[in-house]
Amino acid sequence: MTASVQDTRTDRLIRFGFLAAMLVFFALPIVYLFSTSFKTPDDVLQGRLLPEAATLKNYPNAFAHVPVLRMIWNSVAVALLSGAITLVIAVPATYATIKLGAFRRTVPNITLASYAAPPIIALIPLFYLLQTAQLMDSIPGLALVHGLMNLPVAFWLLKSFISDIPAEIDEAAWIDGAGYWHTLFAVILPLIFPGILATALICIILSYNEFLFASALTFSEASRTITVGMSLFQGERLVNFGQMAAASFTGMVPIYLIAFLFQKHLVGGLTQGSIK
Amino acid sequence: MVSINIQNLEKHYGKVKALHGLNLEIDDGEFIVLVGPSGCGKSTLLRCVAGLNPISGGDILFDGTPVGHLPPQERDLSMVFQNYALYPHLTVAQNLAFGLKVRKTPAEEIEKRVKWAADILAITPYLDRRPRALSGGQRQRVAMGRAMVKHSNAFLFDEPLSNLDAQLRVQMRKEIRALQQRIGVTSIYVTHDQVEAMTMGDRIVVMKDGRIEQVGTPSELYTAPQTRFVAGFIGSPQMSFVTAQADGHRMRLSDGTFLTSATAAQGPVTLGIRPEHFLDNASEANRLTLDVTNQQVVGTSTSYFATLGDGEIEVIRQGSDTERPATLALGIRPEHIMVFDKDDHRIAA
Repeated sequence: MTASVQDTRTDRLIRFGFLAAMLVFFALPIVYLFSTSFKTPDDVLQGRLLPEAATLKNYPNAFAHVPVLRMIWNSVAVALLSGAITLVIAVPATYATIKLGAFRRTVPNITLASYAAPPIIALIPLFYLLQTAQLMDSIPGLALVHGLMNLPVAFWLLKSFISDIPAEIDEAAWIDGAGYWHTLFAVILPLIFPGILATALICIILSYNEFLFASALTFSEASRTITVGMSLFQGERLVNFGQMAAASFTGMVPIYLIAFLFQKHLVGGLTQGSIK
Repeated sequence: MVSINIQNLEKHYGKVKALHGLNLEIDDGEFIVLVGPSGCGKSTLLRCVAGLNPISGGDILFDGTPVGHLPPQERDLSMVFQNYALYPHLTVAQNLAFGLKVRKTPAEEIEKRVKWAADILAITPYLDRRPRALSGGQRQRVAMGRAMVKHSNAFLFDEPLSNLDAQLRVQMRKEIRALQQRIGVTSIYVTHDQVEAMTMGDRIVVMKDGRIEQVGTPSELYTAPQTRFVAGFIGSPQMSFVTAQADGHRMRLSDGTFLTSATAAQGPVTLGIRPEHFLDNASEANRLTLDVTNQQVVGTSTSYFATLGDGEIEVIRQGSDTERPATLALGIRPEHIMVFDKDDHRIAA
């Protein structure tokens, strides 16, 4: 009895120690970023975790140097719009592939291959395509690129949710007279709603954090996103780390807020299909 | 309600042939049961009729109109699935109304039909519940209700009772049959359970390896099976088989026993005897003394297993006999010995 209580305590201690180590590992960069946002340039060069003389000036200076709030707004708009584009295409496409057997053998492989390819190879074609479509340097243009870029991720996430719905549910709806679109909207969508939410969140986060296409396809204040904004703090000779940290920390808030509020759905979406 | 005519129906999966040119006529209002072992093609045939599996050849006609090319939405059928396939996010009432709403039936008519079906099936108290809050039997009734409210061309049942316990299965069997007779709708019912088939069907279609072995009333299949497969599949307990050499009506078994059959044949044959056809009265034309190898008491009757010729036969007798006898003295009438040729076709008496 005593031995088992001891074991439980030891177990708890080990678990606590492990979780504490993981927490430090993941939280340290954020804590360091937060701390740096209050450091003077001299403090930054010292490399200490905490500032010697904390300053609040980095925040107003960062906002004056770069239009941080505007860029955050642009990022949010691009992320939400791209998430919507991804879902509008991915949900019917995944349903048609998985349940109706449309290109069942090719689509999964093509989506995987396209996601595995380095994104930079698509940059020049996308540049010219957006220019032709007169969507260059615009929020809809970047959202379209992000929306299409995230299709493979959405397909693979939605695939497991849609596969989990027994085929007989669709078939019952067809026998009841419902067409394929009607079945998708009236029967399947309500059943996979948690999956759609998780997929949307993941695609929004991916779009919000994207840098390569955002830096190449936007160049005005009206469309530049916060990830591009971060790079603007890099001067020719020195980097203003304090201001950069202040902007970064502000830029993190919306996406962390989303992740925090929808934590349950995110975890559900990422672990779907792993446990039966 | 329609008559269903299946003409030379074929279904291939790549190079594998699942259905080999089937022909079947189902009368308006008839309850027909498709029965056979797993993989015999009975569910495939049902799904072809439903339009859920595209057909590879032949056609299906409803009241003489070809429908083989139509999608399931346009065949106006009702189907009860093995796992019920109720819409989990809708209440019982919404499940029942779904098909009617799709067809844009007026709201008052939907309400009337849902109430009608719920009353008949005794599910009115559950109309506001979701399927997950129902028992297996209640879900089964909702699935039936969903089929009933549509007033469709025909009902299709795909092993609808196999997820229920034995007691409920017997009860639902009676209820489904009674409902079908009350509504008078043409029905196709798939099962692998021959007892279910025998007790429910106006006619039974016995299938094997994608082909129809025999179509007939339960009594025809029992008394006059055309093949050894049908003879063995229909009847519970199963018919016992032994091989023999026939010389007219006299059949010589491998152990030297002679049996007289009402059927005449020549050369190697297989004899089929139903366990319930053995008689205690040993004064019959065929008298046997069998060494009992095993025994099972099944409530009011007892099954004995004994060796006869080169086969093991089963004998069923009334009463629960707890002590195993060493031997059984039995008689069997010549007309109860079925004779099958080397191709397993029954030789007519």
